[in-house]
Amino acid sequence: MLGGYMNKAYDVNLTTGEVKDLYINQEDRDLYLGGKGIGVRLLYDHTRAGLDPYDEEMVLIFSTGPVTGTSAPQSNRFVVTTKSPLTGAIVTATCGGNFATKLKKAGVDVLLVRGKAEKPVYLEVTEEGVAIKDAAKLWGKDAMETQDALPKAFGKAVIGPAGENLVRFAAIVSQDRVAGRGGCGAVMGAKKLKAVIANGKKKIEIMDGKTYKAFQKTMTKYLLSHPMTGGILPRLGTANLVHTTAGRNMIPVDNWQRGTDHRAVEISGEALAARYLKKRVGCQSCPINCGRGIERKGKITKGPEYETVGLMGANLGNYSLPTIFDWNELCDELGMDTISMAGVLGFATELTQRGMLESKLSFESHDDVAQLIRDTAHRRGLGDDLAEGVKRMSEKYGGKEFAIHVKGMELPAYDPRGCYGQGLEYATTNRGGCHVQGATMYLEATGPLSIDPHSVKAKPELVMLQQNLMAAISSSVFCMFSSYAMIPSVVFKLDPQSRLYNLITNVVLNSGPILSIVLKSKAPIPLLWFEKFLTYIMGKKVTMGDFVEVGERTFNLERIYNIREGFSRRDDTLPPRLLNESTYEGIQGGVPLQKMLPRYYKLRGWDDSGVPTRKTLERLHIRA
Amino acid sequence: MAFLILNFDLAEKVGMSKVEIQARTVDDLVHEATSRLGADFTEAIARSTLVVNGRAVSKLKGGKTPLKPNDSVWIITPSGGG
Repeated sequence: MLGGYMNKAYDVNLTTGEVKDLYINQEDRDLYLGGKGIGVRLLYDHTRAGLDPYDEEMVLIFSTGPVTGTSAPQSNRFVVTTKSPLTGAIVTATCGGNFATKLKKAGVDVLLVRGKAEKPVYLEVTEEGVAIKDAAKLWGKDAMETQDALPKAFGKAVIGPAGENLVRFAAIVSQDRVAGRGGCGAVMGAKKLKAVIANGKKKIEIMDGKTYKAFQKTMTKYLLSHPMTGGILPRLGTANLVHTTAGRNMIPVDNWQRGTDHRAVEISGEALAARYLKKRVGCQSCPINCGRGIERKGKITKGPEYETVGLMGANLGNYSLPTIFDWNELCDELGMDTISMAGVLGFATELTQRGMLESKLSFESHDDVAQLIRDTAHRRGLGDDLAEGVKRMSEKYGGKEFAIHVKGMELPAYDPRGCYGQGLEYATTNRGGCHVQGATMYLEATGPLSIDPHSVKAKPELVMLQQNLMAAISSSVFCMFSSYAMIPSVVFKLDPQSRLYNLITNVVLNSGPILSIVLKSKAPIPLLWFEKFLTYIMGKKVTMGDFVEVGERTFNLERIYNIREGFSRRDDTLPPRLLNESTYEGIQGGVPLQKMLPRYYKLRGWDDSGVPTRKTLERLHIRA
Repeated sequence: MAFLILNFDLAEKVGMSKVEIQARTVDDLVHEATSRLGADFTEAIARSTLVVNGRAVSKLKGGKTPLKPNDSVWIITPSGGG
């Protein structure tokens, strides 16, 4: 018996009202761990090819991992997996809040939901099982009102009006944390599932409790002493990135027409902290406290993350933090992804600027934006078009050359023309234009080491390594932010103008051949804290090689799912603007994707058309 | 004239975020900014990366990187999140 698991999963059919035990075999648990990995495996096994995301047969999977609900730092997270109504590709979205731990303590590892209820319902998960309950009185309420109306003791994952109205980027909300990307909330809405709530007091078994407890203290201390996780993130929140991305010419401005604007200083993390921050906020069991508690209208409310500041700020020509606060809060209440919302607003504004769309949107004034956000959630007027996302809007109105999306997913606020590895990551990540399934920009542009963002050297290797690592972290389920502490504190003390700094960055830049060997090796020891926590909790030795391989396996199975759904090499690309237009003096064109993609495919063990070879699938023990 | 863009904290101290500086190179700009903005500026650039039009000077010509009118110089520090 392994620690960390509750050994219980449910299969809930909303059409028939039937609740069954879901069997997850030990081999799959060994291979995919939990969270994202198990979610991907189950989606592949429980759906047929070509199924519409809103079809009654589609499944929506809530999964936890072996570390969920323990006191390990940054372990209070769950994963939602389904087919994205925004992209048609697989989507996995992770979320903090109060749901993950409560689901686990109700004795449940995984909740798979299929079918479609006739009338609005919610699911109540307890130690006794799963009950399907009437949600008629909740339907129409926003995400915060819904949570307030449900029993206080329960952890909650809910949708707002956007999910009910099938906005293609509707989110799932837990407290004020959000599983934002890819429209998981719309799949809930299609099933007439307003909320899932959970409560329980079951004990999570930790096999080597003594060593675990000592290590938990050591790691918490380490994270708190690290310049990023103990300094920059708690002090400035994720918006600490604004000044750096604007300085590096990689913050989107006016729908990615430019990469910088000096007014970004006014919406920076420093400005937010100095003028509005009242409280640092953290998820349960997280020592970092990167969340922002700001004072608005006499109450402490959630401040925006970097992506929201970048995209609802500079990308829309808006340099007012209070306005960003309002729109951010509105999106959370309505249950919508701020990245996609801002992306589609930016696109619609440029369409208007070019005379291709009749609207009052402009990059200079923003009076109508709040109403348009509400209209999007309720699919009224132009909001009905915005609710479809950038890709579909460009198919209706034109402007594909400046429609900023990958595989239909709007891009987060890092312009890859200033970080080529991030461009490769966007192009190849299975859920589309996403930054949290690799975060390569941290290594090449924003973090303490800048290994030449405009070089393609070693980028395929770094992207693959990061993607595998993040998939493993999300299968555990840890928060990816602790990975920022993987770069030792001493590196932050180096003078970027020094010879030593340049030497180190050059060594990394030329480390492609060594990295490719590392990628193939199965390091037989635990190197990072992730494997150590898993080892102590599960009571089974997990090495660095095992851990990263879980990520590689998961990433490849996602790829196989997408291929089954019709995706191919032609979808591993970037928007024409980012491939063809430069925002840097002396650099012709945008991201040189084709200089990186073939090498990346080869490293992955994929053929020239981007399909994992039989040998790769066998090596990773992937059943497809 | 090149433009030096200060981070928010320094901008609050000196009362502006965008400073116009007559300088032919990055070294000239740093020298001039130090004399105008004093110790706060010296402190801000310690262990920071100087960036000209989005590119780190270490990947250009270091302190000898030439500056043209309207060039934009930022002082940036490590950041992360998402």
